[in-house]
Amino acid sequence: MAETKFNRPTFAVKAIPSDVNNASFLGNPVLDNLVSVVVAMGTEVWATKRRMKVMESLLVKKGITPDMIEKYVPSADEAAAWEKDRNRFIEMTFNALGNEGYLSASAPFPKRG
Amino acid sequence: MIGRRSLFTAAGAASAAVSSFFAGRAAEAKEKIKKVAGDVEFRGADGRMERLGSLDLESQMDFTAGFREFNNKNISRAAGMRFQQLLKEKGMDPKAPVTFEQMHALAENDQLIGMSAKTWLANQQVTWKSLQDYFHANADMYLAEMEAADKDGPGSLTLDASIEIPDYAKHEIHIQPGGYVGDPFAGHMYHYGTNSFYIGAIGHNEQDQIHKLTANNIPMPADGKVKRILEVGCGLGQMGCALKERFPDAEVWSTDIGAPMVRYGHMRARDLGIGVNFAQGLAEKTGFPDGHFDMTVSYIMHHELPQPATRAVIEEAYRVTRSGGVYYPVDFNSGGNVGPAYGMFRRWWDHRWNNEVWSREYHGLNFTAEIAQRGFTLNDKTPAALPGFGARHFVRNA
Repeated sequence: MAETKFNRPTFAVKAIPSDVNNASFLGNPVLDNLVSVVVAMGTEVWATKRRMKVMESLLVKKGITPDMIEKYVPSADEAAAWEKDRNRFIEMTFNALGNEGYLSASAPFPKRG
Repeated sequence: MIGRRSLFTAAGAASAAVSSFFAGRAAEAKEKIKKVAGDVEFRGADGRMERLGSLDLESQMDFTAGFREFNNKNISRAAGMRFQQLLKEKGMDPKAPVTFEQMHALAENDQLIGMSAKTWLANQQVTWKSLQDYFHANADMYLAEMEAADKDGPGSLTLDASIEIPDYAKHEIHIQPGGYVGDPFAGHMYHYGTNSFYIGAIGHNEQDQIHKLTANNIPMPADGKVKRILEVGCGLGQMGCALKERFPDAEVWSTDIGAPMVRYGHMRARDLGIGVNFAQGLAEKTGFPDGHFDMTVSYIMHHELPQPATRAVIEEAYRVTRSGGVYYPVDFNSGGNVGPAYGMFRRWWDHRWNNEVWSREYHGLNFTAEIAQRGFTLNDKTPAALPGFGARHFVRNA
């Protein structure tokens, strides 16, 4: 987040920052960063799931029960669209796992025609 | 002086003791926080705890609390077992005293121990960032709320812009962004962040259960007179509030060097209808008259101080506490930077990466002996006010 500009008195002074962002515990900073991403992603996923629980609870009060949601059968068009979206989601999320990563960061361009 | 609640990563024994103490207390009756003028509380309150301002933020905190507990029980445990394995491979006795440096060399390159460290810290960072982002995005509203409370009561708030804040108090303890002095929402972040810490390590504290228990266990002076109480390094003043609730007729002062902390603490006490006087100030230089207080306390502050400051705070406590008055600084058992291997490693790690900058200095002291050398007498028959922590019921000598 960009540094916030406050329009009111804050009574804050400059702190001495921690250097934790520069620490590597896994022998490779990329791995460390990846773990940070996974934990942050987990936080967001859970926030989404919890919001859906709230929505389901509210839906019950409007007559839409969990059982109705569980037993909902999508139409053929819905099923096709959801499958397409599922595949997009999987590719977006996991595609990088198949990268071979055999090029070093200083590798030259391959021969070009 | 800053009131610091530790993340307890180096306090496994204390955590276990208190966790068992609190088992079965989840259904404790909740009080209702008051709705007062200018109060930003549009999602209501859960007892004493105002609900966070958005469902997403509340859910993010719910996740980080759960992940922290999971991490402590699973990943950290696996790392501990790996640590024992490493000791065995090196032919070292797990129970033999070792230094931080030996432990550092042993564990530095182990991937499982590294993963334990990394996941714990990543969760800690997400906790702080989620809170900071939210309060900064809504800064005007929450700053206005504090402004409205600054001059309101019950209780009072005294800020002192002329105070020179010592560098030792400016660190980002627990890697909280801005620490306790550098972010206007330090108090907000600390309050909601420490709920997660408590749940993951020691027990629930959303209703100040731990502070109330501790405050209720602190012995009174032998003559029974409690007219004035001082809490130094108060942070949010949860301890001061609990003492005021225990001694409603007493004048209670809670002081801390962090202005954002006492501002939030005062606002919260006002919302709870608890008349504590909050003031920005150093624990080693309170400005109160000699012998002014019947009880002087602190709550898990001293391990956040360098040794000279700790000694100065004890001397100031002696000055402001009356003869026969009680001095009770709640903090970890201290005593030595050499001990059984894994405990030493965790202590070192907490110091270095959880940014417990001064904890090694604290543990390098015999804190109880330091107090006893400065005009106080220890009543060693009194059990610890906070189970698992140091038993430090001191009476000021005449």
